[in-house]
Amino acid sequence: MSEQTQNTSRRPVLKFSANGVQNLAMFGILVLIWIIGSILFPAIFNTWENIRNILVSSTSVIITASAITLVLITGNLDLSVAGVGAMSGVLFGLFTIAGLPVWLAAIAAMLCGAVSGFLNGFIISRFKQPSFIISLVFKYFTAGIALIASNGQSIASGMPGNVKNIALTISGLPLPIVYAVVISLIFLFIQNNTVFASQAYAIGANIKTARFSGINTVKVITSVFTLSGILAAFTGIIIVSRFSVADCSMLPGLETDCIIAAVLGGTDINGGRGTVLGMIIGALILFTITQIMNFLNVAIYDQNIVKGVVLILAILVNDTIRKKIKV
Amino acid sequence: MDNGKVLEIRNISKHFAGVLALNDVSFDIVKGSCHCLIGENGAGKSTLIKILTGALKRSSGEVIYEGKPWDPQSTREAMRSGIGCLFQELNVVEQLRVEEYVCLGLEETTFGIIRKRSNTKVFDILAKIDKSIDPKQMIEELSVAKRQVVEIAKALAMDSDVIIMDEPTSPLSAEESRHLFDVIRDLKAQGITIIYITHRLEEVLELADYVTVLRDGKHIATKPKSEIEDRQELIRMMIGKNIFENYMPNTINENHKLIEIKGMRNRKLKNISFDLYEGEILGFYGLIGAGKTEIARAIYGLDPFEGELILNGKKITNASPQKSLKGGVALIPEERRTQGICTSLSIVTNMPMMNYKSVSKNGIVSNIRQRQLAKRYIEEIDVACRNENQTVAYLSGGNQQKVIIGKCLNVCPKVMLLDEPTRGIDVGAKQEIYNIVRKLAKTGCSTIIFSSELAEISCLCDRIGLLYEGELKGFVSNQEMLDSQRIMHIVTGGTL
Repeated sequence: MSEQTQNTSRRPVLKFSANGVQNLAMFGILVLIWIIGSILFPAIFNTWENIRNILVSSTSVIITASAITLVLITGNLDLSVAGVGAMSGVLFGLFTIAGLPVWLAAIAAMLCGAVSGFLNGFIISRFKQPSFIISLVFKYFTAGIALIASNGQSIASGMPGNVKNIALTISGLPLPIVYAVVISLIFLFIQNNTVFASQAYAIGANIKTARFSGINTVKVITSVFTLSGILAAFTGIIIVSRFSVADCSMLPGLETDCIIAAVLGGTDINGGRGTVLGMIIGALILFTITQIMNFLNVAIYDQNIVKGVVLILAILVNDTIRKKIKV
Repeated sequence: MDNGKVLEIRNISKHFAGVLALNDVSFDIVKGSCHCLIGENGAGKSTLIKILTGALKRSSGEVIYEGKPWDPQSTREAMRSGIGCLFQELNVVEQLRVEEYVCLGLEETTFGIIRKRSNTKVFDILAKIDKSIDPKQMIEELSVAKRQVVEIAKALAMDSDVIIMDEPTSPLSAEESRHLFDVIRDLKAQGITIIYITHRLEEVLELADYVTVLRDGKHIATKPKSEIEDRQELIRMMIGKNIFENYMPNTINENHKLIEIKGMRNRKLKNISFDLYEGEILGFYGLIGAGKTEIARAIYGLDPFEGELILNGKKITNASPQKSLKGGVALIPEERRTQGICTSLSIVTNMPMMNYKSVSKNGIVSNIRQRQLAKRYIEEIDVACRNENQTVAYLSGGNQQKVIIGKCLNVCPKVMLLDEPTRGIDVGAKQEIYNIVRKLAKTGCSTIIFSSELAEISCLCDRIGLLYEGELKGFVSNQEMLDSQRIMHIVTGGTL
């Protein structure tokens, strides 16, 4: 404990915040991985097609994890997003088959996601239950609804053609990338500039203090989970639109990918720390590695092992960085 | 071994990221003595203790322990070699039996299976210091005082000959402290050296054989107790300036009641009724468990209660912290680190927590206003910090408390509830906090102080409510001379 301040001759403290240093370090790693990819596959790695593929494949995670980052900041986990996404995707497909206009079907499906997220967050915060268990329950709950609604089968036929409109590519730019950019910008703003996010940080740092400070913890936690539900639903809808197929297992491992991306980006799994910008960098690292592995013909199962190793390394690196910079 | 010195501390220095926490400290500790270590927060006491117990590495200097150079690599190694420590926050594992806990890490085992015999030693040790603790009891059933005794027993079970105690009496009642002192005297008689850290100077005068004063990381003096004149001398050495502790009456507007409480009852409280006037500093005094915290929590809306709470003429139903803050009631909670602040966040992010409206518009936070707010309070209440972005965890206890006060001031409170506002805080910071409270009273903000330190209550409060087991036994006015004997009589269950 060293807290005396009479030492005025100290050199000026560096301008970067702890988060800034972390983001910079992670960005460096992203560049490094990108260079490795470029060396391994000089002909294809830096083409627009490849970049676009990496970006499109990372949109699911970037969109969902924008909200998941806030959930993690409050010190909670949301493991339900894959289920919520699948449920909303299946319902979206069924709504369009039932004759609803595509935009209305999308809104209705997102409302279902919102309701699921709301209940999830409300139970966690109001009854002070561990988010790990409750959101896991909601994963099975929503996956169950997806399974029942789809009768356990893929919904491919019967959807109107204009379902594809949501994920069109307009003059070479796929709409999912646009969504991801817009949503992450909105969440960047929320995270940096709102009372809501400040309260989320306070809750994650110390929920008792937050309560003593008059912060409505139930409202804030329920809200972050509701946002997470809405964005998970939107992710599901985009996937259905991209592939014109809806089934109950269409977003495998979305929750873990989101958490990996956020943690890679410096979010503390125990809450109180994290940035949306870091999460975006984390997601890009994750999917650049995935793309390199695809090019190297690494089987999808083996990729999981690599992801696991990456997550462990990320946690250790983040911890080291955090201990080094005591602000 | 020369002249019975058990520890010789030679030119110890410790740097922390450019700050000198300990600056060339040297003194000796005599075997079998009780050596008190005093100094303000941030004076370097904790750092020194951490170096002695191997929790920190020193930057330079050396320690001689029983004639040999001493450089423990971990607290575990220190304990095994005979230096045990009772840390400020006890790390007792609650779900164990006393005997299991004391032997933890010391079990005599055969292939990993604990041999029954190892426990007999513990029975002996415990019986020696406190017969009322049954080794078969679960730790969680024990009071804090008894847990400390268990910790001491653990140190003894490890054959410690030096036991370091870091503010052991701060969670204890007066009677429990007395018992601990008896234990300490007993240990001394057995030739065990005690290094005792405290903020309570009365304890120093009562217990110490030697006193070492640290200030700003420097060694000020080490004196045998016989050479110390009085309390004032200790205070002078600690802070280098004179302080006064006299009660000054506040101007009270008796026509304006800010809080009226009628028949407040809940699980811990029995029919509490009182009024708080504008500009008044009201005190509640009682021993641990008398219901002080419970009254504060009930008023602030953290605990439900039956009865009436009238705030500024308006009856409050379903009180909650949100409502209280809106009504201008702010609480400085009992537990600084776990209830008062978010230690992992910066001063800037902690400051507006009770009133985000002060730094935001339509839910959008202005980072500039947030920074200005933090800077303003850092200056106004003199928070010693590197800058406003510093993480609160790295501030001293007194400065953390000031951040909490800043948080509350940001609400523009009409009523401040202070629950043990200076527990574990050094004398200088204490005085500053008292001055802030006095200044607030002048602006018309009333304060209720809940404290188990009579000195604190008597130097600040206009009226003192005496609590015993959830009951309000009566008020004494501070205008006349306080009879501390009578007050003690009442709060220990005597009749008025």
